[in-house]
Amino acid sequence: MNGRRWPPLLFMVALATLPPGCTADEKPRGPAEAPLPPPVPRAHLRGLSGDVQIKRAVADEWSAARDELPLYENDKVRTESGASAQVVFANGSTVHLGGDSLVGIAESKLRTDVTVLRGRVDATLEKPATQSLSVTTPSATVRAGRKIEFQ
Amino acid sequence: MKAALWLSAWMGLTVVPSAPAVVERGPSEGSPLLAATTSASPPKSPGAEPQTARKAMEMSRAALKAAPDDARRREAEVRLKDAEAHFREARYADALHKADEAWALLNPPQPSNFTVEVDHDGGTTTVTHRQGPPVTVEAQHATRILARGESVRVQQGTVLPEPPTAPQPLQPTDKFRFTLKPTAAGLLGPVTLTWASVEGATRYEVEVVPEAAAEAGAEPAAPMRAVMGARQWALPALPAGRYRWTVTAVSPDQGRSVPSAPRRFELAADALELNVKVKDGWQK
Repeated sequence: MNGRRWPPLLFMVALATLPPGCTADEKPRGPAEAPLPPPVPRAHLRGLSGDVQIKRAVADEWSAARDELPLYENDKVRTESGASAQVVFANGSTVHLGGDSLVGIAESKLRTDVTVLRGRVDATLEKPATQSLSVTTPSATVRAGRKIEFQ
Repeated sequence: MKAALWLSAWMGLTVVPSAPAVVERGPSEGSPLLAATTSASPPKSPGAEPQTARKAMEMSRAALKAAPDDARRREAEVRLKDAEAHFREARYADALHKADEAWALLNPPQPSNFTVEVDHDGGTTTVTHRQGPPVTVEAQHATRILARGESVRVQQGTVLPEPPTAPQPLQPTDKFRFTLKPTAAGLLGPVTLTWASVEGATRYEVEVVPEAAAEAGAEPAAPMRAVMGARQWALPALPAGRYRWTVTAVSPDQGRSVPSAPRRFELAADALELNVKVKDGWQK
């Protein structure tokens, strides 16, 4: 009798050790087998003037910014008093930062492009028929250009 | 996928080149001819497709006449000929579409420009629309559309305030003609503009635009603007001519109102008094 019980029990144990969602032929994907694609910059910094600093999403410290620096999700840019910079998005829309400003580049999955936490920004869309820009602040969201709706 | 994506109709008054149903167009600043034509446009009617297409072609023809001879004009001309060919074959929707494309080529949309200002503690946001198609401001699940020159201030956690109402101009009455003695420099004055107060407004932006020069085809003179705390503006002495003026209320909490309905006035020099001394010997 004992000899007949073992094979089904072993089968069940083997099933339980497989990760959920995998078939017997599949193996769980490890990071080494499917590396994440390199992050795509959402924008670039241009036209820097004065003291402009950047803090990467993964960094703890602020560092000096430079022209043409790519900006990724959750990066932050700040300008000191009297400084200025332009954040140029991939679609060509531009956000001009005045002095003493602090902005963050939004995650692309959110329905916004840039978050203004402090200071003044001037936003420009040269071709609003084909471009869009969304600016979020702690109290409001401003949308310009062609509106994209998701359902 | 359960998600569906669509690009909504263009938010502003500009035309969508690919949207054949759009015929009524907002006034274009760069095209007074079209603006004048637009005001006479009949309302859209689903059952008036041939008329709609014909109207769209008329407007595109007018725009073509006013356009400089460049590559964009030539491309628009091709689209308009296509529209006419479609019209002759009774393909009205296609004719409308091509006419719209021609119009859009001749009236490229303006750039969009707006300012967002967040105070130091992040609690207050001020949005000001400067140029181009309107923008939307969302706060607390409410949405407001800001057109050119309008602004709004949003406190964190509060609903969007309604803009103040437009001020009512009081004096001078519309189309009033002042007959005044010129100053030594040949200018005319004084003229004082007055308007009714608006609740919540702390200042008023007044714009005076000379009209006569533009009508004569000359380079239009620059408008004069002033920001007043009081409800009146004593204008400096001005050249003779016709002027149009509007006033906008500005509230620190509610933003800017739309401009008031325009008022007009005219400045004319009083008849010159000629004192000619004639020597006796010269008279007959």
